[in-house]
Amino acid sequence: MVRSWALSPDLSSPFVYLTILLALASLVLLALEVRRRGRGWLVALTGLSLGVPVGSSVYWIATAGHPSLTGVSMPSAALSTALYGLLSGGLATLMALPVALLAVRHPGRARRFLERSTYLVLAVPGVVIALALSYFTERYLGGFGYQTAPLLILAYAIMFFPLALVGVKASLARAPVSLDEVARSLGQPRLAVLFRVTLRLTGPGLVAAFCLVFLSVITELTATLILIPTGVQTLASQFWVYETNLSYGQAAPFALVMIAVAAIPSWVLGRFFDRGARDPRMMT
Amino acid sequence: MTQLAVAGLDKSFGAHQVLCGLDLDVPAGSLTAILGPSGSGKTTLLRVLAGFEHADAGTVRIGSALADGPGVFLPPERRRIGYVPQEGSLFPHLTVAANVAFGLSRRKWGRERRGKRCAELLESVGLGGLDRRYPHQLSGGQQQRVALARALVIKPDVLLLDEPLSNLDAKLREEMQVELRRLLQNVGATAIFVTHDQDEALTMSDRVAVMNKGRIEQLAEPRELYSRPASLFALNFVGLSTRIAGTVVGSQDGKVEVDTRVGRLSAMGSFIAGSPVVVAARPEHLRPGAALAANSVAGRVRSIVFQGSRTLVDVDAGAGESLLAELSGRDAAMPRVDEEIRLTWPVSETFAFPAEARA
Repeated sequence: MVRSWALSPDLSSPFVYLTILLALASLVLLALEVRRRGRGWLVALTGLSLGVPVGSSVYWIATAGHPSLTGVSMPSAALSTALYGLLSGGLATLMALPVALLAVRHPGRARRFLERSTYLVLAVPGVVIALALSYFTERYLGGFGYQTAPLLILAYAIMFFPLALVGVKASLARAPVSLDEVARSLGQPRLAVLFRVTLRLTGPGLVAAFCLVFLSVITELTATLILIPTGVQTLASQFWVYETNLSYGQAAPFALVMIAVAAIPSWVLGRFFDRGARDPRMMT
Repeated sequence: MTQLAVAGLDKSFGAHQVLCGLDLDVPAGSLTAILGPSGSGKTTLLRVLAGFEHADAGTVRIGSALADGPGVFLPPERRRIGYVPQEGSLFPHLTVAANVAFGLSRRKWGRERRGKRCAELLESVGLGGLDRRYPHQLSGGQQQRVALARALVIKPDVLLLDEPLSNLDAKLREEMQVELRRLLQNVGATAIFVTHDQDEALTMSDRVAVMNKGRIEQLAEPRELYSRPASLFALNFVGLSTRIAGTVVGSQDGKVEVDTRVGRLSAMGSFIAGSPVVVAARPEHLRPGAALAANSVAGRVRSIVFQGSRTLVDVDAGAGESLLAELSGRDAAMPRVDEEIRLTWPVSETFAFPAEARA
């Protein structure tokens, strides 16, 4: 009954009024900003997208009754989330590097097809990937690996592989083949060139790819619910447990921490794109 | 002494053969230009020499080492070549000094010795004091000079330059041609550079190799290439010329008589009677007036192009043929457009080439 407000707002809920209030506040801010320097739409957008979730979370914390459910502690959930994000982000970026190198440096029909086909993964719901992986472990590995951390990390890395690929491919444009060739003519073997030139130039892009995957992992829910090891919760899955049990007051802090954790890679990404636009050293 | 020897080089990409049995010898300390249109295989040749591509057949010898041949392939890092690509391709994340020092990193040199060598080279390319700059803070010409210093730092056996000046604007390019040549001569480098620009090839090199369809058509000093082109392709590609098609009617003492649509002409060459040929002459040999024992064709002046020290006169000789004469200020009577004029040139400066080789 209560979950239906997402579709047909229950006007008696204070939540709705709070949301409207925040939206109005953003509009006021927008109007002020437009008058001041004409960048108001940015402020309004930020206000809306940040203000509504933060505002409602704060509201629910403030109006929370007694905690009625037990779950994992906040630090524990935050730590697992961060670890899963770090490892999956790293794995996806590592996996994307050879594919991107092949696609950019040795283009061919088959390779292009291979590369393009990976984008299809984005269209596959997480639940499908998770079910496929759990079916695979049950059917062929006798359940080995099911609901273990490596399998969940693999699932994340597969799901968000296209995101990593986009980031890595974009960054390879900064490391043209001709630079590799010059480096080799100067007596550097292949591996040294990879580290001294290619990875140095693509580094910021690799970080961006990693951040994109990290961001997606910390909010992922469906695959998480299926594959997460017993006794472990991520911020999103613990939030979901509380939220489905109507314990909004308990759920809200998890939402807030999720936003806080997500802010770090977002900030890095923002800096990366700013720097890419400004720093001519990175231009080729 | 031969510093680079290439023999019977073949290279194909798929069904497309880019190099066809190419031979080339480069003496130590010489500047050789590889001149050819795009698609002639000149860049592929350079890439095979550098070791970025593996030849299908033939051998490449650099210094005393066999670099490419049957069962042998030295990777670029073991070839002792210097390479200056188009646009310089400096490492954007490194300073000028670090760019130049890049090739020294595997040598067990002290910091001081390394720094000294880099400073020396930067000084020699006229960029002393810019060592802390980043590539994007340099002009195009400066970037190319850093790229040159970076390639020279390892004292390569052979320096390879791929259209080194193609990205500079016309005026800077002319200045850099002269300067680059002086620099390369000062360090005594053996250099091969690829270009499609005939001025660049003639200005910068001791020898020009004209390349066409994967082969070297002619390898000669610039002056000889211009005055004694070995093929119609070489004639067309370097400098301007008058070209008239015809058929050989007689041959004697290294000269041929050729029937053309504008009359009978004599040319240097030996062909059997009936061969289709193209008769050609450089514009500076064509003079107004008539003379004995010389080729002479009359026509109507179509256009006159004044180019400062010289004036090019394009004459319509009828029957679809035209003549191109270069007159200087010393030629008293400059013709006018639409004027009837007779042009004459010596047989010794008239060449005949097989017509089917027309490129």
